[in-house]
Amino acid sequence: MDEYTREPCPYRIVDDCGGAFSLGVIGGSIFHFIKGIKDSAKGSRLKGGFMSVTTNAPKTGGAFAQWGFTFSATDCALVALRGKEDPWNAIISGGVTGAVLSFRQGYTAMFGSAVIGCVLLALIEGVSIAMTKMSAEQFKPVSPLEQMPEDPSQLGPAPAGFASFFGGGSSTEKEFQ
Amino acid sequence: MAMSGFRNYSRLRICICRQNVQLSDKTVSRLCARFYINVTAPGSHASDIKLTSSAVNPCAKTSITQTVVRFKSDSGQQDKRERSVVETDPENRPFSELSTAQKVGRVGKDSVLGLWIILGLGATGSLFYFVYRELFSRESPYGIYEEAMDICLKDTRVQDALGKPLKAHGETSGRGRRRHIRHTIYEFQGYQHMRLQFYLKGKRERATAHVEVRKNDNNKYEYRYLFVETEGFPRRVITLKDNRAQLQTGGTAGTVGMSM
Repeated sequence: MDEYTREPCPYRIVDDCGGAFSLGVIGGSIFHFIKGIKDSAKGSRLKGGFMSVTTNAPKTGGAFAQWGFTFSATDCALVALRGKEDPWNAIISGGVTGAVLSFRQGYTAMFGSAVIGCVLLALIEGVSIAMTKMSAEQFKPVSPLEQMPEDPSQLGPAPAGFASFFGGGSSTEKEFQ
Repeated sequence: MAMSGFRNYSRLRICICRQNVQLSDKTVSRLCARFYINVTAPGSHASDIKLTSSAVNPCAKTSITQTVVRFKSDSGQQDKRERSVVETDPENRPFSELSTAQKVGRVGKDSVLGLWIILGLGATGSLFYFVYRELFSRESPYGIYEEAMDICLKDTRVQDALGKPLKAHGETSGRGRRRHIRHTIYEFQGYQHMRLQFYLKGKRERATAHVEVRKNDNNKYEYRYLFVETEGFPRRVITLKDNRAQLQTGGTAGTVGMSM
């Protein structure tokens, strides 16, 4: 349970950066190997594939790491600024990352990649929500009786009738052990 | 003109002709040397240059059976065929010039491609709808989370109990994300209920917020209760909303009570 007490935020940036780098290197290796094989002349296909991997896969990894770093740093900055952790953080930081990484291409390119980043991250969030929803559906308890779950006991009895009128039932504060 | 960076040889020729570049003899010979082109009528830039497959670099991937490249003649008359570059390629020919078999092939190919496009659009659209329903609308776990979170963060009692810079988050995932909100949806007496919980962290203390909402007849969620329970000892419960008397599905509904 140490993860519960530790704030994930500043450390998460490093985690994400490394994760994105390895993702980029592995994916880029596969992609560039196939591409290199396809683009080489007959007889030197395997060699061309390896050469393509060694020249291009680190570049892809670097680009991914750049993305992961900027994204995670923006995300953490947003958490600190807004004081909220919700899917909006991811969407906004996707847009900011897109804009930051195409900063040198001019304002039009910045705007375009910001929009793409936002949409992409919104879709990723949607997919991840759908995944958790589907996995939660599997473990849904099936009760034979259609029964309402108990209200939490911390809340005390329901304020009924005039009691709430005098005691201000909708805003109580109490201590117990 | 850009000479470097061409890897696809047929594309280079298209480039030349689209732009209707007038090439000098020197350029033509330089191009020919670079791209292994044999010019049938060397020395005259106004003439056609005929390329056969043997003339193209044997290492090049694209093999073209026959390509006629025309350069603009100095008389300035514009032949329509100057625009069409690769004349033997049926891909680039207009539909009316194709034979019946080619027409059938073209229609089949186009319809399969169109089907893919429609499928893709449909998948993207449904994904966007899902995102809208789950993230952006209020009647979703995340919508209620946003609203309840705002109520908690703005409440002075919660601020006093936990210490001022307040933060709200959901369940911690393995990768340091805390966006997921634990929630259960259940139906009771024809009303859809949703319970969710999230966490608050202040300067001094942590707390858990519990929310339950019920859908009313207009399909909008109404709060049954919303309270914050601190984790330190002694535990304190700060009730922010308690409308159970009004939204009692048991039958005591309609009694006199106060709502927030």
